Amino acid sequence: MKKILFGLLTVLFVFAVSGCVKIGTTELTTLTTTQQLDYLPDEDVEITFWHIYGQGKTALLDAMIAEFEAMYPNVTITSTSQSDYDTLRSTINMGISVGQVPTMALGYPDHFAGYITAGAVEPLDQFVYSDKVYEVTNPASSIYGDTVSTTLTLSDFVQSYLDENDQYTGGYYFSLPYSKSTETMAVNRTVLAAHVTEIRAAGITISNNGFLSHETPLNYDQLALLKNIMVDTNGTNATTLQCEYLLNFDSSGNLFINMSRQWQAGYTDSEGHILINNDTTKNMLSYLDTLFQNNTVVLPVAWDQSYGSTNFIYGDVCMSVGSTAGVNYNIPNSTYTAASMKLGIFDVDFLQIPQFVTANNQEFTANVSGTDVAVNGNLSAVQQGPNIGIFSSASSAEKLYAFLFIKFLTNTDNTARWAMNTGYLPVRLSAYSSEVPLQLTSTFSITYADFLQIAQDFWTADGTVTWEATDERWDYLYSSMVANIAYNQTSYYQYDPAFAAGTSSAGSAKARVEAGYCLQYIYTDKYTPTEALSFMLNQLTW
Amino acid sequence: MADLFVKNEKAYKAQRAISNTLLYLFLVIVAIAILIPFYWMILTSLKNETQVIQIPPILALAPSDWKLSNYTALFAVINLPNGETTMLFPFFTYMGNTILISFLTTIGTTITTILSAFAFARLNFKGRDALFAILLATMMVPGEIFILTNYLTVNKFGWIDIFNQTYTEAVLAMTVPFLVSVFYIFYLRQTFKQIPNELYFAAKVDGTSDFKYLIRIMIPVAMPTIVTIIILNSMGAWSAYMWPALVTVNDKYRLVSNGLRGAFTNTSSGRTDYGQQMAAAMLVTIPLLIVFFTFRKQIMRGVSRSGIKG
Repeated sequence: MKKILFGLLTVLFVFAVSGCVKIGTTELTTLTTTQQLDYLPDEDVEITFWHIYGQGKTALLDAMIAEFEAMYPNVTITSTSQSDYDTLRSTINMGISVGQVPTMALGYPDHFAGYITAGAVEPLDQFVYSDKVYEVTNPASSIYGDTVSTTLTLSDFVQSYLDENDQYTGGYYFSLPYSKSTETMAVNRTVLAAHVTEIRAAGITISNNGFLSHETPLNYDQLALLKNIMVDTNGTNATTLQCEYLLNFDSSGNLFINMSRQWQAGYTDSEGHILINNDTTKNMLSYLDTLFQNNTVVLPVAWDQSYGSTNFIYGDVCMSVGSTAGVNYNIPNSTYTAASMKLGIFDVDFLQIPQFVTANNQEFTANVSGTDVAVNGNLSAVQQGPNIGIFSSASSAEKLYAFLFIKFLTNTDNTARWAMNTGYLPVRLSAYSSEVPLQLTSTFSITYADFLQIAQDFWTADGTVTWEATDERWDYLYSSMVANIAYNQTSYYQYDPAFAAGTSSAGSAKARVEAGYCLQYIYTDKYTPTEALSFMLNQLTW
Repeated sequence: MADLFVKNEKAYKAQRAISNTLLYLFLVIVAIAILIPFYWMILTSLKNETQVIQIPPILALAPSDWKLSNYTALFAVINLPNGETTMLFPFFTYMGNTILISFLTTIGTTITTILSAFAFARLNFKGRDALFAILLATMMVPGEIFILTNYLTVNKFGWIDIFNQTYTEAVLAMTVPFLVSVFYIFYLRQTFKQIPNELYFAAKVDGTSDFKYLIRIMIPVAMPTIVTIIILNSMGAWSAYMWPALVTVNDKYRLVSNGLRGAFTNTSSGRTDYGQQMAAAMLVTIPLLIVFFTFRKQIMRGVSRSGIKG
């Protein structure tokens, strides 16, 4: 008995001692901002910048850092890759508790939401709206004698990128957009071209060689018509040039979230409220279930895959929505096994993702389980990709130079260079007309405006351009198409509200994962739409 | 009577044949289950990008179809803007770090384990059992809790300076918290306790010191257990992931497990180049296989003795 009592006391003691540790609070601390300096410090300043880019992308980043350091010779920027986003976030989260965080870092909105809750991020508004002008007086500077400021022309940024970055507490800019991407729709143009007459008869505008409109997105009524023409539900048919399914969505999470916006159904908000428990969401899921059942929409889970691009190449599906960063995965070529490619090597085009309406707050009718339902719709396309922010533990001089560095990285020319080099999209509208040339290969240099022109020339010629086979424009044709489509979607990008896990709900990252599972459960008939929604709610709220 | 014996023998033989068949069938299934991941790793490392994502998957490749591009890509050298060159995947840096950390933690853990186990098993001092009970109780605290406390401790020592962390500081941060293992102490103490007291008293009569007795008698007798501890600890250090990522601020200080996770994922599309990742995993596995085949007798003896599978 004595031994048992002793043992229990020991365990109790250990648990008590293991709890004796002071860690950073997870409650939102009072917002404190550092006053922006009135002068450009000339003392040595060290800035640490954490990101996740491997050697392939850091070459350009390092070049930009070198250019910035030449502008401000007293500044040293140490850029360090933290390998992957999970490591980046957990290392910063750990570091916040002991004040060991970098000067600035890359992060997704939900990362910053967590850092903000811990009071670790500097609001950037004081820099963005500053009227301070600094003269560069260091003779060693590459911009000696020039004046600089931290002021940002916000109207030049893509508006939804800005909205994403000031969605947090108090409406402050706790971060700024840096590496952004969106979704576009790859289409099998060979199949479209084979059915031009039928498609025109259905009232859809299409060129002789199978190009649909790049300016106006398809709507779901048109998808239903195309499904009747392009789909053979018994399986891909090489004779009639029909696919088994019409449209794949690589990310079921994005499909749920984006369609919720298109239906104005409610998803989450930046305060962490889960808004999915409503009739509109239920109707939307039932509507999607019908599309799943009749082979109009398919998810990669149908083939036990994470992405549908391989099945798009195999001809199982005629259209596929995926990230702009994954464009090349949708292009068939001779390295794929010929026997698997049911429709052979085909031509690919890119379109905007399907919409329900042509303008916000427009009503449309959706057939939900045999009943027509009127829905108030919006235009919406997802935007994704990390932002960049500054931590509040940095000194005033570090913050000032870190912001100048952010401004430098996102200026018109650099965001264009970054976009062409990495496959991300420019964060500034002016970048789309940038005239700064980027050396893409040893023999090929091009401006972003000319880069966009590649696809425009191709489309204008209805795909019958007279470029030589060795013309390097062929190498950039598809990425140019995607960049054009992304630009056309810019006006209706929507951001995913970001919030950390709280007392009543899970964080936004978890919400996105569960949204994806919800559709997969419906697709695989594990749950009915109502059951799947109920399951999702249970996972996200407590 | 003789017929009965023959009948029984036949029945016994049949029964033994059936049980042996079932046993070997079970072992073959288990062996296949264990070998399939290895096979798949090797196969994937020899596929090109499109073969990796082929549906249905390619289950075998003729040697003439093997693509070694994933291996050569690992050692590809790229030029940096400052004129320096670097490998696309710093394989040797990661391997060097991993070997060093495994070596240091294993040596350190073995020394502290032997000394502690000896003290708890053989020496008599006040509060010995209470102290041991407290140590055992810490095994009930989830490892995640220790991550936080260890992080704070290591930070207090000044080894996590995100602006100027040196390689030495990174090595200390990665190794020091793992130089003691309560489980191994408990495990070795039980082995030490099985050694008869008479040996200790006889050595004492001969004037042997405690340390000499430990070195000359107890360690040789408990060597299979110590080898097991060395193996288990090395494997743990080799595959450590979370802790090295947390306490190092520079990618080049990290271990091969960290490198394998992030280096092959396209940061824009989020897609992983599984061919290259498996090629790197294959190269990481080779040293472990060499160690296993070199020391397989000791390893098998140690594992069968302990009944513990790594």
